[in-house]
Amino acid sequence: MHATEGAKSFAAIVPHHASAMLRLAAALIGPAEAEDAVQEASMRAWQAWPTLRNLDAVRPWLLQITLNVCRQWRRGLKGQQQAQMRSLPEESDGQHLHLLVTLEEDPGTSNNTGALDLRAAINALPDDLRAIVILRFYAGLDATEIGTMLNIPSGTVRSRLHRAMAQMRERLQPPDLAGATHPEMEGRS
Amino acid sequence: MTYEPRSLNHHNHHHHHHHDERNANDAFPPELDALAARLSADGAAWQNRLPDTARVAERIRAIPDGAPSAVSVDDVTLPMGAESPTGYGAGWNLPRVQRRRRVSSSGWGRFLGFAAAAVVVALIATVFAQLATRGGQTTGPAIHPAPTHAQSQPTAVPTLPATTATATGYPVLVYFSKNPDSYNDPMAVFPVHRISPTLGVATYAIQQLIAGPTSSEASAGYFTELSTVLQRGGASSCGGPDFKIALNMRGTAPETGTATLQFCRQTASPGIGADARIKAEIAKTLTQFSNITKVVILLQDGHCFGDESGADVCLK
Repeated sequence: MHATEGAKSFAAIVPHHASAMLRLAAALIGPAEAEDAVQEASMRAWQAWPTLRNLDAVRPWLLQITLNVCRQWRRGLKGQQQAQMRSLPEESDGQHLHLLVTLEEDPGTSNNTGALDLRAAINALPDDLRAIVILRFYAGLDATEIGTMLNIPSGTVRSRLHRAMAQMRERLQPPDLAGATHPEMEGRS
Repeated sequence: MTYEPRSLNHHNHHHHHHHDERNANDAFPPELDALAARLSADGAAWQNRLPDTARVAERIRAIPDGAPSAVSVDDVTLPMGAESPTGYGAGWNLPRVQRRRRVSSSGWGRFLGFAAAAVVVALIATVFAQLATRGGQTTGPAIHPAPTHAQSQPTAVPTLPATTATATGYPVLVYFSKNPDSYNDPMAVFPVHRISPTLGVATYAIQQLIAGPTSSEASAGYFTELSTVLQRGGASSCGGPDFKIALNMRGTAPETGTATLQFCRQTASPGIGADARIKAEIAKTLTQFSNITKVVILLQDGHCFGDESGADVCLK
């Protein structure tokens, strides 16, 4: 790809994915650092732009770079906040992505106890299920993209998503309703 | 090229396909529909609190302007012995093609790698030699011939301060104003860190100054009025870039150690204070490079920036 053409195509294509990159970065490292991480990811993407052969794959490619930048970001933070963080794997396999994802409890809206409960229910999920819920509904990724991130089939993503939502539903329902719909409670007098 | 321009918040055809697939396969059981709606609504509210996508996109769009290409050298050179940023991809899940290249680093592959590196070094050395003998001029992505009157410029090429390339590029500082300090003292500027992806560090640093602070930096008080003063909607007299930098030049006159930054678009200054802050930001950002000791800032028409006297004092 000629340099000028490359610059034009980069400037024309990559900014359109800024929103997805930003959402992913915010989900992984928090909104405050997300913009800087996306900037870093974009610079890496620009450096590697001539190596991108299939422009149809640009979105997952950019998301993968963003993911790796965020991992490195968290590793950097790890040194500063070792006492507060769990250890991270040296190799960036997707199975450990859940270690990076924690949703802020503050929903950012006043008097919204429903949103507070929702966030609490998400954060109460097991790590692997929580990551899928956050990546799906907050980062806005689809099952295929999440599967790529986590190195699992998209079908597994969907089944885990359903399982996660079922657990959340249990938790969010009032105790009496939860009891009434629990399979073990059915048929009891 | 299979991509079509589209608005920021719309997905491309490829992603439409993904969404269609997701919508088809992510159908939730009726008892989960209400929860899915709640999650979608909360996700949208969460996304609304994220940094402004348009600003982020603008910063991304500026990257090629600040980085002419992955191998070119424009206005500022690294000191001898500085490493090149070849390790930028360490630890990535790179595209398959690139991974294959990275593992074939033995035998002939390694020999060819060394040979290619030697050729690149030789080319860069040639560029340095030419710049050193006639003074360099850069306008971001466009390469302009050096002015003829500068051909007798026996000056050194500016160098970065003592630094080494990082895994992703070359560290530079960008000096912003900061609230409230810079309102009390327009000369007070404060550095933030950036990584230039190429050796065009001076151009990149100014491009980043124009792009403005990140949201986290802005929330900490960093700001610049340059992005509003520079009428980026107007035409560029340099063929696209916002500015051009000439090294070892005071305006059109050769002067060792002086860099001249000329805007390529019209400017609209809100006042003397803003002008002073912008001058301080640009001067401090450029003088971080050891061979730039003075900075002259010119308007698009060649007159001195922020010169209320109209006497073009900066050129004398």
